Amino acid sequence: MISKTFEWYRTVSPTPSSQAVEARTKAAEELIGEISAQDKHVALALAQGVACEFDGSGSEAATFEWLLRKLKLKDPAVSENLSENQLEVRSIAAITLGELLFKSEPEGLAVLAASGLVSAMTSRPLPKERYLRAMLEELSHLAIELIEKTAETRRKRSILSPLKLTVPDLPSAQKAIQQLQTQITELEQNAAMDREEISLFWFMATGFSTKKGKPFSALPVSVAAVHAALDVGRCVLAPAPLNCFEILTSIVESKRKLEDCDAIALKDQFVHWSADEWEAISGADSLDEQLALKFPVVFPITWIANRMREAQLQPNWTECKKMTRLRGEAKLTASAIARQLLSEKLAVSIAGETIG
Amino acid sequence: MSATGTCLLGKASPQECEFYSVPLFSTEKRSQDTRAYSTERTFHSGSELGTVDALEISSGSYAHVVGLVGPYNAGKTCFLLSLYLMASRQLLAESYLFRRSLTLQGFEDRAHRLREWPGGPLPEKLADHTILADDRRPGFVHLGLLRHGEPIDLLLSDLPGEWTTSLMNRADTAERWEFLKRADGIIVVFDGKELTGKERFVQVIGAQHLFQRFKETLGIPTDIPLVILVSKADEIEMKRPEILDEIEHSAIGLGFSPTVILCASFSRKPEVVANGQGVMSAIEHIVQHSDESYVDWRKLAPSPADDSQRPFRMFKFLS
Repeated sequence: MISKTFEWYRTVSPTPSSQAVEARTKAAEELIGEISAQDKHVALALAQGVACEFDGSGSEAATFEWLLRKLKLKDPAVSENLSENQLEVRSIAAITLGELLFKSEPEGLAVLAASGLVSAMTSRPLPKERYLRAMLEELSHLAIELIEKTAETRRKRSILSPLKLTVPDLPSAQKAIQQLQTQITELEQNAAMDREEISLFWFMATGFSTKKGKPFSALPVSVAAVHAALDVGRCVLAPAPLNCFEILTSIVESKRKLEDCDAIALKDQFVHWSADEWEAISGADSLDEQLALKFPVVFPITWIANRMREAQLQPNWTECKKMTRLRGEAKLTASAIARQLLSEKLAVSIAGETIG
Repeated sequence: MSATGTCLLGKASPQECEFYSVPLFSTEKRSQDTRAYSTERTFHSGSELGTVDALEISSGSYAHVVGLVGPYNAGKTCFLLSLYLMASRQLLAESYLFRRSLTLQGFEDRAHRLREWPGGPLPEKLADHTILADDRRPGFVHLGLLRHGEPIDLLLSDLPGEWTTSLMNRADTAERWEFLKRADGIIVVFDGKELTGKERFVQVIGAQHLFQRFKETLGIPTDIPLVILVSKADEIEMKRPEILDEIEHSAIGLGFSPTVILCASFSRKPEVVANGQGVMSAIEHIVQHSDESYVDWRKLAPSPADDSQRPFRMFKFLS
């Protein structure tokens, strides 16, 4: 967010000079002006680079280069070396991402970036570094605000007014057909909303996993988390409001002992997984697989499922930490895993609509 | 500038120099191996870092800025030296290792009195009075550590005690303390012997003025980690001075949440009080201030001004 340039640049510089702030403001303005012309993956690359940091991977390279070139044009003192400019580039990426979320223009890209950031931050502890933490909290605020606003707009029912069907001449007929087409589209949207609502209510009422053929409460909690998240992901329209995540949590945790729902080490959450789980999360050559390979920070659970599918066993946690930047020892509940997986599925769905 | 990265006219950054022009380059022509080449290499004395020099560290990774504040002879430099000497001799806690420092020369210059100590009782004054290379701008010493294998960089201010005294007395000197607005934590150092001596009430009044300056003149947020460090505590038997309550309450009254730490940077009774006691506790309090927490999406989500207008499909009634 350009209005936050001074505050967010303080993650880098203890006392930012006015020239440095001005250079970054100008760079961010130009970056936002050019963002529509970039590959649409830029939204996810920005989310990944800001949530953790740019690690020099191929999927981030074009975005990193774009940010760095623009920044260096305004401030030539910025180093070329990744180890020396990491936080500089992260800070300009945050300012650009913030502006994209704040303006929500172009809308598709902004919603994709917002869902990417939400997915990247859902299971990730906030950094302990005071100013980095504040920056990420503000960005998360912008992201969830945009998602809630878009979710609400998508769920507003269209009121259909009666059509005048007297068509004395051809132009009137053409106009009537156009109106009819509009109404058909609106009817379709209303029907989609109704389907979402009915499906969710059935899902809540039965609490039954069709894939496993058992009630969720009869499954190991970590397995129930996967299938409940996937079922909710199939029911809801993207982006989904936060309350859908509450529904998911209540299904995963209902009819269970309290201790079953305690947080355990991330690596222990996958002990009960089988091919049913990893195949369901991410099939070979699916968009999920492709995106998780490119942006493991944004899609960590999908990345892990990919690895488990390939190796038929638990992932190597050293590699996992390097790629997803999540620690295998991090304590998470099964419902947190479910929420993470739902965030990922929704981000994939939005990416499918935006990137194609 | 193109050869050394340093402006011959003494300007702090390239943008400030009227003779500097922006080099234009084409991304196509850049090969992969040019990435490691930096044309903006800078040189500094290694004695201390200015705020612009500090960018050499903080552009690459987050640097924790720690403001050390305290009157003349309070023990600020001894605190820094104790930290440095413990780090360099691997005497820090097991989870910490020395990694790097861009101000080794500065630490060594400050430590020369200790290096020359022939043994016997410690001299009354262990470190020289701090004199900055540029007396108008704050100077920092840098210490890079590994904490549980993760790199962590500390930029610790080392400023003459007169700066603190003038901040207590005159609001118009606050400008040079601007860096505290970006500090990750502040350590206010008081001489333990002064807090138990005749002048103890002067210390309390000074502290009250100081905390007021922090809040009202500098606008430092009250949630900043604030350490009240009682130095030379080995000389007061590691007993908390009674007057400290007043100092602590004056900070609490303004909304700060101070932590009091008794410290013996260089113990005069090492067999009773360990050298460096309290030094790492103060640093850890700042670096580890935040608990491990996650984004609270529900707290961040907006509530519409008129909730009745919200469609039922947002499922709000279920949460």
